[in-house]
Amino acid sequence: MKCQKVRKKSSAFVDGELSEKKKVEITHHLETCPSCGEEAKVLSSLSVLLREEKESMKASPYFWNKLEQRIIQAETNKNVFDTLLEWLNRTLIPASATAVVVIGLFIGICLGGIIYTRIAQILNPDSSSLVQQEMNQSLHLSTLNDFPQESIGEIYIGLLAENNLPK
Amino acid sequence: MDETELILKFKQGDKFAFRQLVEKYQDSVINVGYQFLRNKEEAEEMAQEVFLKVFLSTGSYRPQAKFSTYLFKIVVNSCLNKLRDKKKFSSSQLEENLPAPTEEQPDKSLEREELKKLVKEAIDSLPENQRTVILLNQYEGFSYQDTAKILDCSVSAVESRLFRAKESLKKKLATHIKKDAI
Repeated sequence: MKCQKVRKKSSAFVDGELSEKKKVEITHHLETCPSCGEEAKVLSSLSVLLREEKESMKASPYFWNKLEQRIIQAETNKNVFDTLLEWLNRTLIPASATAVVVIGLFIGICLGGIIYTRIAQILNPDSSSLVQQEMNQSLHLSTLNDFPQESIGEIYIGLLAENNLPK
Repeated sequence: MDETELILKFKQGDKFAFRQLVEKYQDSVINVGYQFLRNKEEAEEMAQEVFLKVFLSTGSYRPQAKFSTYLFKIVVNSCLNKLRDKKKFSSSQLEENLPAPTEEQPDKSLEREELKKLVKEAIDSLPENQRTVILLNQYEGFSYQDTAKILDCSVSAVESRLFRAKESLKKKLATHIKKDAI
């Protein structure tokens, strides 16, 4: 095995992470190559140094107590949230669904009326009076007709016409 | 009770089982947190947040996976997020956390403290991905495979990062390593 390959695997070798086959190959090379052997020793010493000089921290004596308080608090908040979610499910969502259905029906009826009059017009061009009646009723066009006879509105319009006054 | 039983009970909502898991891992979690954050109080706070998260999300833990890799994945992500938020990690902070040497301290103790400081600085100077693998593999003893699972990368990536990290550390700590070389 070449030195360059061995050096790349030295770290894994020292950490005991190689397969048996690779371990044997590298061990053999290290025994025969002083330079690679020295390199492996340095890596091994480095691992020891890192472990020995590691600063170890211990949890404070009240670690669990503090954590337990946080768990209780989180569970309480979760219950409040669950209650709110349940209320929304029971009231708001069905109410919204009903409103959507009602609005949908209303739009459907209006659209249906318009489509019906258009189709009737296309199929029976002569029955314009029927169509006219339908339109008058649905769109209240009768409000645009002339005033009834002898009504105040007719008299007023007559007076305006006689005196050439602007309407 | 072995860990598998503890985990099954914990998944069923047994708080006592959860407490035993916490007591088993709390020191390691705080250690890793300290190595990242360089502040004991922050490390403990991070540990509390992590364990709370684990408790509240029992549904997301699959018993087929090792609990330790699941836990430390959350720990590492939490630490890295905190570091990125604060953009922490200056050498001045390292000095603040070290005990001040006193005249009464014996020479050996002072030398030891100096060495600890050097090792700390050397590790802190590594790029984030290399520092992480050193902490998990060299300090906490996770295998390459477990480290890869924690970091969501391949085993060869872990191997490569460790190799580069050790090359850097060798150069920085050359004098001290040669002294102790077997």
